[in-house]
Amino acid sequence: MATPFATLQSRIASAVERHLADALADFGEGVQVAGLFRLPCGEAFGFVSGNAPSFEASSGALSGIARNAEVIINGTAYTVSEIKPDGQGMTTLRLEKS
Amino acid sequence: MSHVRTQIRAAVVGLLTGLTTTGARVFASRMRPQTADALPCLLVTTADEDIAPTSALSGALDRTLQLVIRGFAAGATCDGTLDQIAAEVETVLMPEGYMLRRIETDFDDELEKPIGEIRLTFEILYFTQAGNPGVSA
Repeated sequence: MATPFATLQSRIASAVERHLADALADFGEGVQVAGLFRLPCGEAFGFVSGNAPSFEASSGALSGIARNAEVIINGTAYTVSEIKPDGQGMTTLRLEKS
Repeated sequence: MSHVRTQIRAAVVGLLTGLTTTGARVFASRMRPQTADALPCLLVTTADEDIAPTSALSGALDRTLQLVIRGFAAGATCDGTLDQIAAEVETVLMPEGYMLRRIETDFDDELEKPIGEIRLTFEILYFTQAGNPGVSA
């Protein structure tokens, strides 16, 4: 049985997903997950600039997603390069442009 | 008159422009970051330099300059591209007397495409008169 705090964490994760989701990630075969898409600027070696895309959603909604999965977000195709669960109900997918 | 370091950098950019892999994407300034779409490319830099008088009386300076050629490529399989960049750079510079001292590689996967870097460090020996760094003696 979940502790009261774990239940609260789960509720918060659901609320975050429900109220703050700004994108729909389409993994194909009817699998669509609402979550938070981030596309901040980044830099490599102080010389190459670009974006560092990521997608965050509840761990439950992303439980079937594996590394190298293909996903389309806002019309752009990405590959999941890394899966980072935070241990508190949310998971961040690091994305590479396909 | 520009410093001999600047003249060397410009000459190397000329030698390296038009290589098969990097084409005209050869830069001598690191002030403007490039986007991943502009890769593969080369960045020509002059780094540390050891300077010693050749003798107490001549006034000439014996200078050993580190010339660093940085090659960049994008993609999950950029290792091969980086090695090809090294092959093309070595093929052009070594017959010109540039001594290759070291090759280093590094990878960064923070951006939307993985970026790889290869650094070729060459050593160049040249001489100037003290107080006259724009003319090679």
